[in-house]
Amino acid sequence: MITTEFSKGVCLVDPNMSRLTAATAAGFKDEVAALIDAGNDRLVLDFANVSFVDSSGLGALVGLLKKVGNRGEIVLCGLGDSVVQLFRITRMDRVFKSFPDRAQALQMLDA
Amino acid sequence: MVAERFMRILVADDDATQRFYISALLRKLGHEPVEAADGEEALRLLESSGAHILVCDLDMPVMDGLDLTRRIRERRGGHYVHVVMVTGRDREDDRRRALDVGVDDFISKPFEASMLRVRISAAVRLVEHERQLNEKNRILHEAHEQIRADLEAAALAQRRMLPLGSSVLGRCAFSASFVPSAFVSGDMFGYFELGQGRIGFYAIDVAGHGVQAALTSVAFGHLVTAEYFASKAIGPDGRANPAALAASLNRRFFKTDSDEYLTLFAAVLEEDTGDLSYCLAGYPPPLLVGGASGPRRLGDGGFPVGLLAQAVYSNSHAKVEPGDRIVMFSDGATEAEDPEGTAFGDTRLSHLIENEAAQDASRLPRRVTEELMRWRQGHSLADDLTVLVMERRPAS
Repeated sequence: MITTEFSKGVCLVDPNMSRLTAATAAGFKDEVAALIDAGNDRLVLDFANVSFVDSSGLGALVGLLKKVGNRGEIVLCGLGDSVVQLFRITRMDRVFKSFPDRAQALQMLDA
Repeated sequence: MVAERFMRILVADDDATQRFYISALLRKLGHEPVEAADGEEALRLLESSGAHILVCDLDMPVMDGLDLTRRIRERRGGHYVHVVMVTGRDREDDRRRALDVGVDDFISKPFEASMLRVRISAAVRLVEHERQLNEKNRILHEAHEQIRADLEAAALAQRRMLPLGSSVLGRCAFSASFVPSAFVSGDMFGYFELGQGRIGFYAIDVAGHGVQAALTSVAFGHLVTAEYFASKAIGPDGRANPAALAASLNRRFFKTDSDEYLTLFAAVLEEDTGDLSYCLAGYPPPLLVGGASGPRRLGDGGFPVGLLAQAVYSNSHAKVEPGDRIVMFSDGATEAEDPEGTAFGDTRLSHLIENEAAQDASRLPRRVTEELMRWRQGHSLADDLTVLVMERRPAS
């Protein structure tokens, strides 16, 4: 189950899982999609505690990005080495904005 | 359903009068009594009559009601027998011991017909419930077996599409191994002669695994024939353009309402010169092994296929000298974890491939899968694994 915090109209999402994989991606996506449906279209996904994302996890992230579309923005923060490498190989580093931590992600969305 | 509510019921009592009385009441309720004068006879009749309900007296010669119940509960397999025990009034100790050995319900002597009727109808309800559960279980089991058989057939059909083992195309030798994580897999690969001294080859990994990924990978395998590959990956100017193949596949596989996508490595090799044109589309960068410098990664990234409508793809180039090999592997290789959760990783894989450089290329795919199995310490792989090796053979 994800947990959320709200700060100045931005929804901070903690996935509360160490691995976003085929086993967990669908549930994660459904929960965040429900947030978007509820009108939260500026989101920070905090991946500081997520050590591994597989191809299904990546599909879920892109699915959420498509869902928000032009209405809002999804940014990531706290990406670990293995996730950074996955993002580089799949060029997702050009699709998702990412920041070292929550504070900097919030600062950017605030600007 | 009403017809099945009338059941064969075993009545065990050494007192003939009591036995006849119970039997007569059961007959009046529409059931079919089967009579036994002691526990041993009851046990025998239980098997032959197929009764699901037993009404038995506590005190009987040879084998009493407690022993009989104990023996019934010790049976292996067979259906559940609902045991109603007839005891004297206010015999708490008897009842406690009876519950201990597995008696379901009690009826006190002397009893009225209405008392027996409610006890029996409760038992009939439970037995009927069990029968329905068993029937549902049987249907589920059959459905499961059917699905398993279908998946096995699908897995076989999928494996037949993959060019496993080793084969020679012109001046190139290909060898492959493939280990699906489940029955079916999302990996697919192929290699073809494209004409005019060119060889085309590719490997894909459909995101996720299981049936949906497998269907996509098989559709891809059927779509991407030698003719298709050549028509997309060779430009009108006659130049190799695997990025155009990736772009074309991206248009074909992109769907706005789906997260499904695949990663691709596609390449065209000029047999005479060893000039390689390749496009990396999210697939793990293959390793080019040859010369003195050790394995070199081909490419550093690219958009996967089918993920983003606006994705653009580019070609890269490398020289493949005679004796060089290109090792392609799905992410199941680097992501394979040992029991402590440590991934096999790029570095270990690169070292393994380098250490095998002097050995015959055809054994490399199997060597990689062997090492990964050792890394997993006997646990099966969590993701599909493909290893495809292309060697440009030395000129003879």
